[in-house]
Amino acid sequence: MTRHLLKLLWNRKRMNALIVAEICCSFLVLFSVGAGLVYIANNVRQPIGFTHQNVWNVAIGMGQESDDEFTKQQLGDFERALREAKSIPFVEYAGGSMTPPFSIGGSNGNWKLNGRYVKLSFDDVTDGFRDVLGLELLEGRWFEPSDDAQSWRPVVVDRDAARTLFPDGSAVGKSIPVSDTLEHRIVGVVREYRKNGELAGNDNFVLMRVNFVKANTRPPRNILVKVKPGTTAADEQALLARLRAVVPEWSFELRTLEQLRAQQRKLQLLPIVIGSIIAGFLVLMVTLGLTGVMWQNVTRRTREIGLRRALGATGSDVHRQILVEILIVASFGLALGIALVLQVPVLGIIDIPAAVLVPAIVLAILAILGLVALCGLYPSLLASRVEPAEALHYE
Amino acid sequence: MLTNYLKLAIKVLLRRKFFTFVSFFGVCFTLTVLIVATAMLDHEFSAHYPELKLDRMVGVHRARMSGPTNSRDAAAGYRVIERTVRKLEGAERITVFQLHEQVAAYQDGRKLTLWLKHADGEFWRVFDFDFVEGAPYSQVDEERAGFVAVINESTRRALFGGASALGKSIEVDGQRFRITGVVRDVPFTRIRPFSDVWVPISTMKSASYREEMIGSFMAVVLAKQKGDIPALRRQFDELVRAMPLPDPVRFTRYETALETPFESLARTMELPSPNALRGIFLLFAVLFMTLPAINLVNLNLSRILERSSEIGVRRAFGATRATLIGQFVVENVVLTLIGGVLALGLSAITLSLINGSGLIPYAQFTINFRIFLWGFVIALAFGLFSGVYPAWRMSRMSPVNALKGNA
Amino acid sequence: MIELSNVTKTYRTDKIETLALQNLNLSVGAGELVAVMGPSGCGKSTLLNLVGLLDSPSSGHISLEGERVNGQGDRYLSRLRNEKLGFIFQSFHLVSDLRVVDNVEIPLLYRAMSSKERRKAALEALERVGLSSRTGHFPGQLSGGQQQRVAIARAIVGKPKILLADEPTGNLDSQMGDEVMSILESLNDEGSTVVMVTHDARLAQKTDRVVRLFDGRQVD
Repeated sequence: MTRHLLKLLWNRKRMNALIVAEICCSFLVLFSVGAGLVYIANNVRQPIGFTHQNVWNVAIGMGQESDDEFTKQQLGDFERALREAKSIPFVEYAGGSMTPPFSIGGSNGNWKLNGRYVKLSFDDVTDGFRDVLGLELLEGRWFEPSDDAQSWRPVVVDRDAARTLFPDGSAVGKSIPVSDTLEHRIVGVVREYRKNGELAGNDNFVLMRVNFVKANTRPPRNILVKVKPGTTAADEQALLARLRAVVPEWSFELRTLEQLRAQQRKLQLLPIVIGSIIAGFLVLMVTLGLTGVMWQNVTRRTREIGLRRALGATGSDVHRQILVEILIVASFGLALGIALVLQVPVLGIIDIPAAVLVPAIVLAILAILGLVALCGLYPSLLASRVEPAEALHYE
Repeated sequence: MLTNYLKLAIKVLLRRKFFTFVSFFGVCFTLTVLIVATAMLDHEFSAHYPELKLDRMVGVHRARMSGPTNSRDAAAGYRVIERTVRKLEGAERITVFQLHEQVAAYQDGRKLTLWLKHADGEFWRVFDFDFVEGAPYSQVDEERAGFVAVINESTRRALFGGASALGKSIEVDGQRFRITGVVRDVPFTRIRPFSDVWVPISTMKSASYREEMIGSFMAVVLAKQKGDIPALRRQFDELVRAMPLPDPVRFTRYETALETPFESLARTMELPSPNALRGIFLLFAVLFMTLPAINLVNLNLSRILERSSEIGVRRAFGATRATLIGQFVVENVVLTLIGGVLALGLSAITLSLINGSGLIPYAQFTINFRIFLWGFVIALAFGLFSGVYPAWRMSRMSPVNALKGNA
Repeated sequence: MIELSNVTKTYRTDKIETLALQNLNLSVGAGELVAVMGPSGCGKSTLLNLVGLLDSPSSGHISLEGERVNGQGDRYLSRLRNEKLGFIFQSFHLVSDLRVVDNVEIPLLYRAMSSKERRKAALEALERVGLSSRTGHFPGQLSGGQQQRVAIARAIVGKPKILLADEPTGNLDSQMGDEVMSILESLNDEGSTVVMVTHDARLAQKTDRVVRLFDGRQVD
């Protein structure tokens, strides 16, 4: 029977080719949205490694657009401002960061290590950073004031970075070749640090210590403070006033991490929400369109269906035939779509992990099969109700 | 002939209502997405409040200073603007302003996050702001570093409720400014004039900006007439080339240009020309239209097969292939144009939803005549895109088979 | 072989009730060749539909080979149509998108049969109607007479005992019609029961018995 239907479909290939193309395009649309959703769902299940409650971020405008332009004066000013923040009674902890949690942008790069490329994300942080965010130390130690005297630069990595960099053993005490001029040595490993929050993917994070004693250290651009619960806008204003008094020519902008998180979440969700809405409409359009095409197909083939009934096909035989036909056509479309999607990792255009690729393909296949079965529901019902006596006398 | 086609088209549409509904659904949805996208691009790049004289404006938006090992890529520094744009001859007006930045303002213990832009006095004469009350500050305020500010309506509402803001003061980023005027809100899409609060450049906390080569400044040159722009660009390029670089060892090249925002975007994306960017937009539109077009072609083909005996009779009574193609293409174009009109309505609703959502600050997306025309062109293109193949198939039907009904 | 007793068929639309057959009694013996004649609308086609189990009577009984068939479910009737009956139509009703041999195989698709056996049976049936050279053609590439011979091959491929022909020569010229008729006659000689609706008195003469219908009743 299947071979018979294949022949029938092949001989109507011009019409069916268009349906194959339509299914293939729909698959690509569903796959793209599915991949985005699976990616986010996978991310949300992982811990982010820090707490953002009662943490404020003060962004500093130092009058220079580029982070690479700095003076010794600025480094000293930053240290004074940080110390001032720490001295305020409602501030529990204070720390400096170049690109704080939930901020847009950041520093990352691919580094060649033992012959393979490793993607790392970086931040320059001060000793107080860990207490502000409550990072959990797994191994080794956090930065100490005595590190000022080291000839190398101490760094702390998160567990993913440790595993990626040194899959075979402990990362503590090893150095990573991220700079030609200065040795970067790992002193500790924290459980997790995902700067961009729950929705974003995992990044191998490297926290590099800011050394206020060294003249060519780049000053961070943000002061993070952990405040006691129950602060008000007046407290924010007070903190800013104190900072302004320390460095009058800088501008300070205070946002809570809660606000930064909400803002970033909006940016992260916006494309997927817009994509889902558009994909939803596209799929609805395709569903209606295919229903129309199949309906018309059944109408046009009334005589053929009547004939099959006369030759001994039962109503459910015909019902099944119509559904199997569209499922065969759909599987050709799916095969084409999957072949196209698999080109993405093969050609290396975008790096899609298997944990996203496979579920997204499966979801899209299921969605397409469901959609096609839905499209075939009414037309195949019509087909099974064809009265052979009428169909065969209809000229 | 055309009226006959039209009458026929309407009749066919009314005959199979489900098909007509599905076709319209697809057409409306597709065109709505494209019209909304077009409207957003139009509001980004065409003349809208307060950039009404856009055709006479060119600006410096981005700059790059590079050397053997270093490269810095951002907006231009004030020093560069002083030495190039300010020296241009023959322009009607020149304004210099900073990129908007987010700052905190405190009012009666409440905190507001506002956008702040430092701009010179000429800013108010290059851009056509609508003043709700008061007046702009002037170039004199700029020269004397007067602590004066212009705010927008939304900020006035947030700060003072419905009351007048004139003469009152506002504390922004630790500095206190006297408000001289209130303007109608400027949408975020107008990157150059956009802000909540505008204050003179000379009130900046530190004067170090005056020495920057790369920084956060932009400039807009208003030409006396459109035709002057090429000459202004040549003059500008000459001035940039002649400008000495402060650290010739680290930095050997300075690249910037006097251009429109669209040209700037193309250059930022490292495209060879603004036309390549237009090409990319077009490609996206065509890619987006593919699935809806296949869907419509499928429906159209089904419809044709249904009408095969009609086609057979027409062919038998002497209709040429060309006539049939014409008939069908007109039918399809009528369908997409009607869909286009509906889509314009839906787009207006969608745009007002986007405006109201606050996703883009002070968005004022609307359907204007230009977008109406674009919508017409898109609908026509979609109609042809999805109508030609079915029409060709229809014309290729043999009249004999068509009459037998087995196409 | 075929027994109709007291069969009445009425068609109902919203308001109008049309009487198509009234108290018809008919018995066709095994191996008979029967022609059904009468003017348009006399109920010929209704009769054939009832015998062909495509339709069920409003009252009365129909039996095939002594088995009462009316009132049975779709599955049972479909199986009977498939195994016991072969249909030939005025307008051939070939599936235009299938090659000749695939068209002939259709009835066998609804039986448990391997594709090899199906193909063999279809080729035999086509040889029987003299179309062995046309098995790979599409119906559109054949003449009317050839198409009807394909339809006959399809009707006999499942080796049914009864052939039902609805104006089998109605769309053919007399020479082609005669060809088709002679095939039916020889099938009848080999033991098939044939019931044929026709307008053509000349063809009717070649049958064993003529049933004449007028206005839903048998007239002689």
